[in-house]
Amino acid sequence: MTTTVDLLGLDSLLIPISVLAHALEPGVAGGYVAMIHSLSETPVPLVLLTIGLLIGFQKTGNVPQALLALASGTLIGLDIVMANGMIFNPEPPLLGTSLAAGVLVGLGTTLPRTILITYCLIVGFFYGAFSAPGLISWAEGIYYAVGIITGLFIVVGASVGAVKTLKQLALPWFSIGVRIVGSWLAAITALALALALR
Amino acid sequence: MRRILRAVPTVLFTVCACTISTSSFAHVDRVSTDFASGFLHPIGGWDHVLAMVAVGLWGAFLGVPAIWLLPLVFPLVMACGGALAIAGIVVPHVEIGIALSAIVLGMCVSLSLRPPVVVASSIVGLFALFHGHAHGTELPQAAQPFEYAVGFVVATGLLHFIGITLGFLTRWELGTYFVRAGGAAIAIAGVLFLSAAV
Repeated sequence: MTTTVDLLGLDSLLIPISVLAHALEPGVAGGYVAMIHSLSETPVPLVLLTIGLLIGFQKTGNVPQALLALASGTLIGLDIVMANGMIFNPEPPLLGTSLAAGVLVGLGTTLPRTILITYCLIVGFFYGAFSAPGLISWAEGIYYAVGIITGLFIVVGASVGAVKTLKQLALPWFSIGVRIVGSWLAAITALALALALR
Repeated sequence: MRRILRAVPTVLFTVCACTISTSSFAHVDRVSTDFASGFLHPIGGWDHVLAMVAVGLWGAFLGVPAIWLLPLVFPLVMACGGALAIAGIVVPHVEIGIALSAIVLGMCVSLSLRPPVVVASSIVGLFALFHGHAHGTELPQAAQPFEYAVGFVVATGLLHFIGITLGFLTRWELGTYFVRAGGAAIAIAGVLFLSAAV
């Protein structure tokens, strides 16, 4: 059992992580730091960009629900870690779901609404858990949470907007280009996942 | 004639881009530091450059859907090879596999082979494993492995793009001979790599 767990890299999920995953700045400064986290901390921009491409590829009518599900999942993840501390390592599952998104973008897959919303909830949950500042109250971490959500919408929103805009231009290479970018992101994510499980 | 002249700057640029390689083999012990190192790794060796360009050439030669499917399959499987290397799993005869990729892909272009897309993707995927393993072996030694991974995935994709651009010469009869001659040259170079690797 232990050997199997080691071979699958699952032990990286079981090891408790230190309580404070991210140092918390007080007040609005904390919110700003949290927003920057979405734009700079490896591998968050990669994950959000990939998710944004996937959502942008979906039917326009499903996009608002997908974004809402992503934000809701993020809040749930933040809430659980802020209430209980970092009880598991969220990086591997976050990268795993991002890898799936990259593959789906590469395949040009359009997901049914229910599956898309469920998927966004799951990704959002792991993103929130990964980004959480650790065991603190909502009174202390509210600005941080707002920053995380803001950063999420900046990157994902920009990706979705870019995809939708390019699609409207009806460029002949658009679909192929996005799919190739999706495969690149999936490849990078796969390597990041291998590094995280090492 | 005018169409040929319009293609000249593009061809000249891609030829120049292909000639920046400095050594035959990129897989020497050296410190890999960041995105630039990862970016330079595939283009720092003729064995990688020629195989990547051959993938793009063959894809352009085969036409839709291979023209986008092969550059999509290659990075994904390459990442799997890289993940194997990161996990410490040894793939035997990597250098031989890389040399064979230049030979086989070069011959496919030179002989104008047009197998079913599934077969072409399988061939490309098989060789991508060796290339990915070679890149992945040096990845954990990098000071910033994530940035290194981004670098070599992007470089690989751009090399495919160069191959596709050159492959568009097949629109003209003279261009087809040029591309097929290029494939033959790649195959011959592959034989030299193989003799050095064995």
